[in-house]
Amino acid sequence: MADKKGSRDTDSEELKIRKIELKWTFFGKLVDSVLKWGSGVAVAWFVTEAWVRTAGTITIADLSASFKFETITSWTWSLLVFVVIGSVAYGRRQKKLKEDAIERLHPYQEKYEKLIDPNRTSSRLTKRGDTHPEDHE
Amino acid sequence: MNEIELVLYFAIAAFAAWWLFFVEYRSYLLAKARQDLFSVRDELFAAAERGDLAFDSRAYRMTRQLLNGGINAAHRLSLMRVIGIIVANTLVRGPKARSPFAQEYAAARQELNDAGRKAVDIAHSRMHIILMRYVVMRSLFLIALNVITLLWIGARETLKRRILRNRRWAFIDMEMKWVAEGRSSDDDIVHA
Repeated sequence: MADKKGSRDTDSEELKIRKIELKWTFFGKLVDSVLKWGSGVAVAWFVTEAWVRTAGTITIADLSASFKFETITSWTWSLLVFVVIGSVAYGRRQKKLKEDAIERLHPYQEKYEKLIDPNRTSSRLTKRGDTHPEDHE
Repeated sequence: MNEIELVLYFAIAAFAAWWLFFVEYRSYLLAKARQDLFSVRDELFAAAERGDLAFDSRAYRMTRQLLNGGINAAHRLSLMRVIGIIVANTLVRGPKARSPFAQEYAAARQELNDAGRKAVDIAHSRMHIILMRYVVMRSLFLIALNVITLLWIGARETLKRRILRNRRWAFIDMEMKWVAEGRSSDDDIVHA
């Protein structure tokens, strides 16, 4: 009887903790979203503002002139585009290779570990090592 | 470089920085934290396989449960959530109270031999370090705080090492000794 009461108290404590935690989490997510999308909007606003300020002084002819062949193929442009696209492509490719390796090798590790520890527990990620769709917030 | 090119450079750089931090960098941090936790879990498994602790011991089960929880829920961790956990526990249980899980975990740890306890302690503390590092590195505020702290510590250490402990400043001692012995004074030098 006393154990049951103790367990009920613990459950009620856990519930209270979860409720407070949830409020903070919600506030944190709100702040994070405001920071993330707010900074995105701020960047867009600065770019638009800069574009609008130059728009009055530059004609369509200037615009097309600014994209002339010599400019686009200049060293700075080529290097910048190469570095940005190359880095992103390299990172994505590496990520895909890593996920392929996880998907290919994970069953063997799981099989081996289950032979030694039949009660082995899992992290419940997907076969490729991503967050399980059910566990997304 | 004309103004349009400047605006384009700025736009590309600004959007790239935003996207790299909020999408790519955070996704990388999550993958790294999970990878590190998997590595800790593998080491704990290896310790049990060596016989340092039993697979069916409570401490092994609970540590593995914690590691699995960390791997599974790392994407939910944030600075605000960590503060929320601390605040909620302090408000409900009091500042020094330990949760029933922590009490059970401590009791389970006592059932192990030294080698088993060491394996569990290493896994547990490494899990904390990995998750806290993840929380710090994904927060703009904590990164800024980190950089400021590191710069401050660096500046303080440099000041200590380069200025206060530098032997080249020994000439001041020599000068003071000379003055104390009355062998020279500023007036002597001026009137010499």
